[in-house]
Amino acid sequence: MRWAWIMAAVYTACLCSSLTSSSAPVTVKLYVAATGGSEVYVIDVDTNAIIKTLNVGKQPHGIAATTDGRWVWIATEGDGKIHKIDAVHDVVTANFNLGPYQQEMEITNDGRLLYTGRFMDGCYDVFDTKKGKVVAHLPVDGSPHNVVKAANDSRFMYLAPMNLSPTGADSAVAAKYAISRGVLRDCDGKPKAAYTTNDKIYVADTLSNTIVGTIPVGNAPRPIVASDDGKRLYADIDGFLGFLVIDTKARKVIERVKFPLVTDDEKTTFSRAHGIGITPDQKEVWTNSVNHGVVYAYDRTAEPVRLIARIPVGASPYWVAFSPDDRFGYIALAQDDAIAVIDVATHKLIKTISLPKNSGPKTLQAVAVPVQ
Amino acid sequence: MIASAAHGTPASGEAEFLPLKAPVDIPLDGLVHDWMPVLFKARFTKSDGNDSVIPGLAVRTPAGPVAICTYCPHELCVIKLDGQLLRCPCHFSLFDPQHDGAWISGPALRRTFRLQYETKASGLTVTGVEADLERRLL
Repeated sequence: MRWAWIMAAVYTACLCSSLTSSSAPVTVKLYVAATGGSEVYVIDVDTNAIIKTLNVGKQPHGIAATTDGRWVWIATEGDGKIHKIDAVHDVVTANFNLGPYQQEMEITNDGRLLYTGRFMDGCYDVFDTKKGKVVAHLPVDGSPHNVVKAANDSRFMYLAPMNLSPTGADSAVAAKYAISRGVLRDCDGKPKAAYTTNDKIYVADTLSNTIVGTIPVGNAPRPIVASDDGKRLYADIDGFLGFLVIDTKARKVIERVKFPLVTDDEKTTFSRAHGIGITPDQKEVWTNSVNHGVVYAYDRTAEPVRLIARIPVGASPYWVAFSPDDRFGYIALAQDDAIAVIDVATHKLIKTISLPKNSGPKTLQAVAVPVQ
Repeated sequence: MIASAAHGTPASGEAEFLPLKAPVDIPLDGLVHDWMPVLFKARFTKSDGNDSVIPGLAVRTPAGPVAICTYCPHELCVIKLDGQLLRCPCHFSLFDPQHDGAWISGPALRRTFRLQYETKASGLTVTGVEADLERRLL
């Protein structure tokens, strides 16, 4: 419980907006969605040990925690449900069936509205956690995958649908196949006759639950992240080994940052960028070259951003998370059934947490949970 | 004794192949036991003049030794042998190495990219890679 009191003091001092600023003690847990199975692993960040395994449903994919750390929502892709987890006791208290292929989620800062995408349906659902039902739909092009908010103000949600396949031609083939199987639908559940690929990020207003703008990014967006102040988005996209810096006010890309390729292996082996995060102190943005096994850290306090570290992790990095106190970066090694723990200050890999075979860890989130 | 056999020789309407810069030899004594994979890398030159290195796997199956390109056709994650099937760790597509990497399930929607190789008494020699893969690597 060393963490509990330290973290309470840190949060009180920094008044981190995404966390409670009360002096109530908290304990930090890392929630890991094991997409290869049916489990969510809860890891104690002090010991890096699994302290609980929650069997939630087939292919857990999305994670969204309330700002007070009291509740964690999980989306399971394989059975199309969302699950409400009591983070204090780590038990599932409710689940709701929203339809197949649920993906990433995000929740408003008041904990009321949950935004979640149905991958095959070109549709984001707005789920009212108080009413326990979907209250709005947001139709989009492509296949809903990611959604993020700015921690300081969740007025806007940024929706990032990807494509059925990473190239336009392959997406057309995949869509034809999916349509023939009747699994491609619109928001109302009607079978689709055609599929439109996506190359933009949508801006959704959480007050009206309407799309109020789009940001062209040139190809299908993959993992994205918003700065706490909401001024910048950082996006991985298909077909570009690097990431984009986006001005949210201007709704345009202001920088394309290409990873420097150093070794012959990096120069000759295909790779892609997948997984991106901002350190809680807002100074650095981290993202990955998956097939090269490298995590890149960039200083985002100046623009253009500046590369400050390349961190080989010896495996294929995927989704990114940080401990709220800025000490540790957590990188899901989906292809290797493990989590890399990186010291943020030194940018060094300090530990690899092994998970069960074929667990396929993907999204992960460190949550400051109140101690009761 | 294994009879010499060529794999991946394109017939009319089938895949075209690009030659490797150097053949990859996998000695047969590395493929003694069924389902014990040997991993390798193969290099070829793309049409833009740049080299590309691709991952592969050779394994003895009950039907004989085979060579498979281990890029998943979906997102080019590296697939792995899981029991007697090939499994993509990213999005869980499954392929059958006993049927030339045939697609079984998952978002890949197609068989693994073909390798051109020859099986001889001394081992297995990989000489080419399916041209369609190049489109994904440019």
